[in-house]
Amino acid sequence: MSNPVKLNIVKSLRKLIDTPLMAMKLPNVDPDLISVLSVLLVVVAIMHHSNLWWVFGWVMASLIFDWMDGVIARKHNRATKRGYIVDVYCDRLSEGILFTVFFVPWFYLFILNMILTVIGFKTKVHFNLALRLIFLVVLVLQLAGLNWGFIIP
Amino acid sequence: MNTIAHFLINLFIIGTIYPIGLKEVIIVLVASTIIDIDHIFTYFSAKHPNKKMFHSAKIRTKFHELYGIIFFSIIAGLLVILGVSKMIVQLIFLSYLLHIFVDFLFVHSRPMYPFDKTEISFDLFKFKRRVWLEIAICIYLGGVLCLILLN
Repeated sequence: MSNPVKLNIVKSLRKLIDTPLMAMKLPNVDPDLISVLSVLLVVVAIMHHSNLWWVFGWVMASLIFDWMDGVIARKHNRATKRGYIVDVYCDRLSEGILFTVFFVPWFYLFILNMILTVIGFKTKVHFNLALRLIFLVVLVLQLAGLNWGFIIP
Repeated sequence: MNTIAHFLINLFIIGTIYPIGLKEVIIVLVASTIIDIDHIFTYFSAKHPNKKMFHSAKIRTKFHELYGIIFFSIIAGLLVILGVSKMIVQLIFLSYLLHIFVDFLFVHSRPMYPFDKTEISFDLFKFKRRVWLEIAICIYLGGVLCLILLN
């Protein structure tokens, strides 16, 4: 699986955000290590699980690193199948670690995302829920006062 | 990573999240280490078992990779729905996931096995340095654990 097919809307969104980033000077580091760092940031986030502001900060940092690994890989022509596997695996590990702590309902969405990952590998069409991003949006709403009970540390 | 390092790393992380008593320590100990039993099955079922196998990704069964994460996550989700203590399920699954992550970082793995057989290794440390790192982690975290228990 060398070039996973992404949905057009994902491709358009990526192009919109990546274009200014690609024009910047980005360090030529191993993108796989950036992917791994995003998981480490989630581990730090769960260690601060009782303070939702800290969780927000660390998970946001994790998402930024998760985004940057692909940008750096494309910028420096280091995009490979191995890098894709590492990126996807690190995404699932981050979600698993985060949503084991914030169990309901996120853990069940994580299971769904795992199944979508396997289907994506089999059908070569990459489709996953941006669970950490959705979690961050709900977290921000909760911190702003709209507490629907979706994020319970 | 060796078994003791897995247990100590997991206990250190999980200890910052959940209240830890003797029961929780035993749960983390078992959940952090039991998955490595698959190495024994693979070793003894191999046609020509040798020590080099333990350094390759093939010593790990699919339960050590993405397949195992899916399998155990479905079981974990079902157990919580069926009324099993959520905290115990969280302790077990988090111990398992952290074990998988540490192995992913430090040893050879096939993360997408059996769906894809690509082997991944970061080669962060050469073997001897990794052994010294594991010893250092065991001594440091073991010492911290002893201090906590004595207090």
